Amino acid sequence: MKEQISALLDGELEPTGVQALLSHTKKEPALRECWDEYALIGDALRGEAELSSDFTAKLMSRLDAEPTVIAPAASAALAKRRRSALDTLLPIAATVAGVAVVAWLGLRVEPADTTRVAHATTAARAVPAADADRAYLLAHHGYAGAQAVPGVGYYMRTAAEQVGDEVR
Amino acid sequence: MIGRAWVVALSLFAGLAQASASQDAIAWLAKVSAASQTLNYAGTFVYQTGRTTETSRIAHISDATGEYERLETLDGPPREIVRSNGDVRFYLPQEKIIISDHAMPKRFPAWAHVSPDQLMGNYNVRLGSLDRVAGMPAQQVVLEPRDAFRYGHTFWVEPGSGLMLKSRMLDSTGAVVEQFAFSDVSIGGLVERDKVRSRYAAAAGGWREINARGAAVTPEEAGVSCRGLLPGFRPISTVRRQVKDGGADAVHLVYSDGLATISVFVEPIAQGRKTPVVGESAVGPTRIFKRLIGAQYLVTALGEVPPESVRRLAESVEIRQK
Repeated sequence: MKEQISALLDGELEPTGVQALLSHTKKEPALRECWDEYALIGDALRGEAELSSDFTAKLMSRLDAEPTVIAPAASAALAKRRRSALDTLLPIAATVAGVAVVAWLGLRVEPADTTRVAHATTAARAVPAADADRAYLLAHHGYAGAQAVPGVGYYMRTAAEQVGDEVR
Repeated sequence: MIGRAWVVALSLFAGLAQASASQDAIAWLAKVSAASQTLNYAGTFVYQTGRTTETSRIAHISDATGEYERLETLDGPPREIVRSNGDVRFYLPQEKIIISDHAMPKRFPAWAHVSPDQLMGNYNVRLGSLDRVAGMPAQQVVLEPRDAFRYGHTFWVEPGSGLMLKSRMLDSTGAVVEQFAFSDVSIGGLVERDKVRSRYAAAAGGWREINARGAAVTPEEAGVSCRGLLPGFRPISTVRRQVKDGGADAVHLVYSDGLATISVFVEPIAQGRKTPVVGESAVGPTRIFKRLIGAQYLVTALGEVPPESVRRLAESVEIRQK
């Protein structure tokens, strides 16, 4: 079900599956949470996080107001999708991760010390750092001289950097 | 071993020449260099850069079979770095990623390639006052930059062992760029093997591994050079390595001024790939500058130096057509 939500938010769910998914989402709090989460991730990645806190609530209340239509065709499509869920799960996960990395790259190459960066990074706090930059840093810190900590502590920077500009 | 040779060489040097203040300070640095490789120690330290403060645990063992170290962060998402002699593995359990690398055996300062003369040419090196860190006496060693291309450093060294207890990096305005300090450390004695063993290695079978290891090449083979070098910096290493997972090989050049290092990565941009974003950025204390050469190469310079330094070095990169 979760992968369907992901597909829906990506605009990749067949129209026939949409109604069924929405009615399920309305009934099950766990799916709503999942929806929330995915929507937030999407918004954070697009830098629209500020819109999203009440956006989701509004959308859900609008869905509540909509009449529920359960068409047999939709159920059939749903069953078909379920069979292929395992096949689709991995590519979707990969896509989500890929988008996250790209977005993080985008965030990280912003000029330093601007409020814009601070804001963007906070919004996307759950997004992993770019592997390439991490590998750059690790490779660099393998050589980095004396500035910080003894021994493996040179890698301290590599470790600390993974959280980006998040304040702790 | 090299560290010990340095201590001998430096004490000889100090004995022959007039024992000036800066030679004393250099001798202290040599002591730190040797201690970082030969000591057993385990402790907790606080690392601070920008608005981030993190506590980590570190353990180091040195015995007949070599050096072993483990560092783990205690705040935020768990991260672990384990070194067994030259092999470094960086575990990111949340993302199920391992990044592996081969460390340069000698790392404090990058003295295998740099002379104390170079260090003193770039920094005014002197002894500071006797202070106290983590309940222990600590001798301050102060390095003031002679120009704006590098930061200033202060090290606090435990006089008996030579272990660095605290370090601080300052920019030209006197603001702290980065600071590390042990809050608690035990020096010498037995450090259990378990403390340097990875906590994640057993569970990491299916994790994605990114290998950052490289092969040394000559500057001629690399076909990349930096013209009009940054004052005080000299090339110390040229390595070809695959930095990006599944990507093309990048040439990794390393420059040192005796203390600070800058890495320059030059890599071909794959056809049809999105054009990388270029310009200035920063990650913690590390300044990054990216630029393109034509549409074919991406140059990334990064180091714990002022932004101007990485920019200059990145802009001096030239590709020789082979």
